[in-house]
Amino acid sequence: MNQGSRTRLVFLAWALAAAGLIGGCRPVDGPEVVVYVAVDRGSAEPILRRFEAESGIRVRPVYDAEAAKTTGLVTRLLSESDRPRCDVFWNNELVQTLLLADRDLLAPYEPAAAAALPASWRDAAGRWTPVGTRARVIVYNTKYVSPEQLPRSLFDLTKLQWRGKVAMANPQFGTTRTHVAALFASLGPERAQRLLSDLLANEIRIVDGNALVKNLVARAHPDASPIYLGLTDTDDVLAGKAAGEPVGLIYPDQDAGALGTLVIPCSVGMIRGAPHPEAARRLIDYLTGPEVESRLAAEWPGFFPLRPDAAQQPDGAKSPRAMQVNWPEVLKQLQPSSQWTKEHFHP
Amino acid sequence: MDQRTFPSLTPTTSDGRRSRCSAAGLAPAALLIAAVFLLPLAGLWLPGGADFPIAESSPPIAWKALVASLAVAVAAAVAATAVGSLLAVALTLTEIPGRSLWAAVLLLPFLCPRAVWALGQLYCYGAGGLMERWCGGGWRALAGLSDNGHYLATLLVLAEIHAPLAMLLVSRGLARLQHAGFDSARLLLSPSALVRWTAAAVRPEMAAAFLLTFALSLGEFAVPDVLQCPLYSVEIFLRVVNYFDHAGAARAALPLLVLALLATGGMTVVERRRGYVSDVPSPARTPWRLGKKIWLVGGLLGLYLLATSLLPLAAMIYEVQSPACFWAAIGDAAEETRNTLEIALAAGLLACLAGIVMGLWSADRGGLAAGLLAMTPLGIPTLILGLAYLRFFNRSWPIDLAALGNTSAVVVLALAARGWPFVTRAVAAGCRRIAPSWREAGRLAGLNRMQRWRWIAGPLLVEQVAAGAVLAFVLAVGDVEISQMLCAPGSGTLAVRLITFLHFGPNHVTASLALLELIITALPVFLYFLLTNRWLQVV
Repeated sequence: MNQGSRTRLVFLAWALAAAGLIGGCRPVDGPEVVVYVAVDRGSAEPILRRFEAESGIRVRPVYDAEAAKTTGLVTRLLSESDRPRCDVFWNNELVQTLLLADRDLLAPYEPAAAAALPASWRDAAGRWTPVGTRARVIVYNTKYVSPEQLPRSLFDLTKLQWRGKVAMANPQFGTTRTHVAALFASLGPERAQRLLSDLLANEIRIVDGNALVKNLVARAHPDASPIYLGLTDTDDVLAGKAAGEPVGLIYPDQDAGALGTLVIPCSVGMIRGAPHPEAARRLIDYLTGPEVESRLAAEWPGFFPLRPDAAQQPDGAKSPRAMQVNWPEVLKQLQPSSQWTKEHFHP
Repeated sequence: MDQRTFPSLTPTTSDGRRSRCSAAGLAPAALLIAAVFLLPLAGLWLPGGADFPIAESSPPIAWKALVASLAVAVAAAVAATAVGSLLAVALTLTEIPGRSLWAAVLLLPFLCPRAVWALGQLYCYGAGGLMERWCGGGWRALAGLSDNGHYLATLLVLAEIHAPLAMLLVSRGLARLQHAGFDSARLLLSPSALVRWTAAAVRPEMAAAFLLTFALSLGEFAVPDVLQCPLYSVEIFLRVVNYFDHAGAARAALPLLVLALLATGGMTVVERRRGYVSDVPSPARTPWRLGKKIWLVGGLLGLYLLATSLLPLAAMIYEVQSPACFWAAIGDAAEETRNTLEIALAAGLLACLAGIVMGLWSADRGGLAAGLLAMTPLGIPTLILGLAYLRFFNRSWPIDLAALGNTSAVVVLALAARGWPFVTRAVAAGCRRIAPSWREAGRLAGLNRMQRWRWIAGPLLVEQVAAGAVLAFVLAVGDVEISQMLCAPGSGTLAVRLITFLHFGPNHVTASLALLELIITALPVFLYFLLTNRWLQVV
């Protein structure tokens, strides 16, 4: 390369880099809304993009990585409480939203669409609105677990035949944390602790997230990784099934008189002191409308709409019989149950 | 390495004076740059800031994870140094054809984003991966042996990633052998004695390679995160994102930071006063002709390349499923791609400017203090750098800098701080390669300092500056830790998108994003190779 070409290339590189410097540090113009999203990115992103296109409001999302789970976003919201940066929190479960409401970090705003929801799923103060539900299920490997072997209850996972063959996510975080707190609230702390201790004694494997539980089960093999069962969320299993993985799901405790399956609603709320309140209200209106629930039901396997006017799951699947849960009591049990699992579970 | 890079001159003149780049007067600028980039590290220990720990849940320091990290880093550094030394011997001392191309390809593991590289290995050698599909149960059983904690897999990937650095460092030592009687040793010594003689001659470079790869492996986050290995860096990250316990994370990070800085400080001491060969070809050089054994060397190099790079790349392409999936995935990631390019170009520019000043200054000063100030920041783990910047800028005193959080300014600054030491090192090495006799000739010809810079030092340093800039750019493109902690809402990068989709799937989206990142980082590397016909001398 001659000196002239080299000089031109060097100038080109510097010009590109300077353009990057200017572009990278420019402030944002126009209306915008900052939303922290704990719902799976693959499902949430198209919805937010559509809102952006329809409303002309720029959406600036922060998604959580599975490794950080909802807890990361909630702790971030807590840390920003003096100077909020976020407008809307779209959570994939309810308890951490209740935690924010309990700490007075959510502003009351009940969207018009909330009127169509069952009364049992509405907050009296209007600080959050549910958006559909998911369930906590048992995932199994269809190649290595025959129909007659299938467990019917969470308590079946403590049986000797499943020793070292079951996995669950770290109960310090995410929906697994909610599940444990719900067990503490529904069964009572002593019975819940006994169930969890029995699972530990049965050598349950603790992994980093619900998706990894499903992956472990899907890739199970007697010689290398004999994890045939796991506790996870509906959407993880159904997404695996759709991808052709050898997995199936069981809604646990569906027999008469049994505990029932834990059904967890997604939730959305506006942050108190949100920098863009008007845009935040418009986004909440959009997210709680029937269109979004229908779309989530169509695209997000295992998502069951709460609104009667929203389209249900395309395959006609129905929500299971739900565990009777007193959510304020679950919130009360969140800290004691987390403390207990921190002391006993070692991922 | 082509013929032009073989040595004939050492960096000192016959009367023992060192090579200098006439960079007097740069000291204030160099100290200012060091202060701007390193001052935020004080954020690790400053009180206040966004500390909102869930105190009752934040776990104690995981000493077991720290010990595991140390063990993995030591083993990875040993393996990387050994492999890198062998690669250096093959490429520097033998007459293997296409050495520059070999070198450019062998450098890719280091230049490619860590998360992408680890993901490629996972797609190839992990559960349900390419090898399992080919070999079935046998491979599954073999992989199962190393399943517990994935320490072995992490170690091997870290060694693969850092072996090119060791290769570059040891190559520099081997290039000096021409002046140390290598040709005579080759003729007179037995093969085993020749190996011992060569190893002794490049011992400082091997020690430097070990220390540098140890420091970089110790602070690595993306590889253990992707491979689900519970190392200490992952513990620190979880403390930040799950518990928001920044102060606790900063305390936990201290042992890691001290060990990494000690290692890079040690490397600076070891390398001090080592000779650098100049770019003038040696007419006296007699190449080591291996005859038919050249096929053996080529075959082994090919096997290494196949196992570490080509098969994982094939597995990644296989996971993409189809061109339609690839285009759809990268179409969805258009905004992040633009953000990434903007941020990486800006960070590369800042790192380049800072690195040029620091490199010229440290080469000119030549003292230990200057060397330590310029080189030890290489060892600061990216995770800790991100955490320090997060704590430093996320506070309301003495002035409220929260508005910066809505732009990419902080992330650009932090990424420049990551890339700057590498540019410094490349520029300093370039300065030390310039034969003092050339500048003496310029002085005798009546050129003033600026003219000597314009006509002698400047053109000779263009390639080193370009190499440093390419490295700063690719490091910024692949960064996960800083981007995840500092990116403004709605301004995420490709690497953050990749990490998010890594856990949520689907696999074809993750693989497509990884492939896109690989292309973005490989392009400038091969462009550099095409324009200069040289490998990137990044250390």
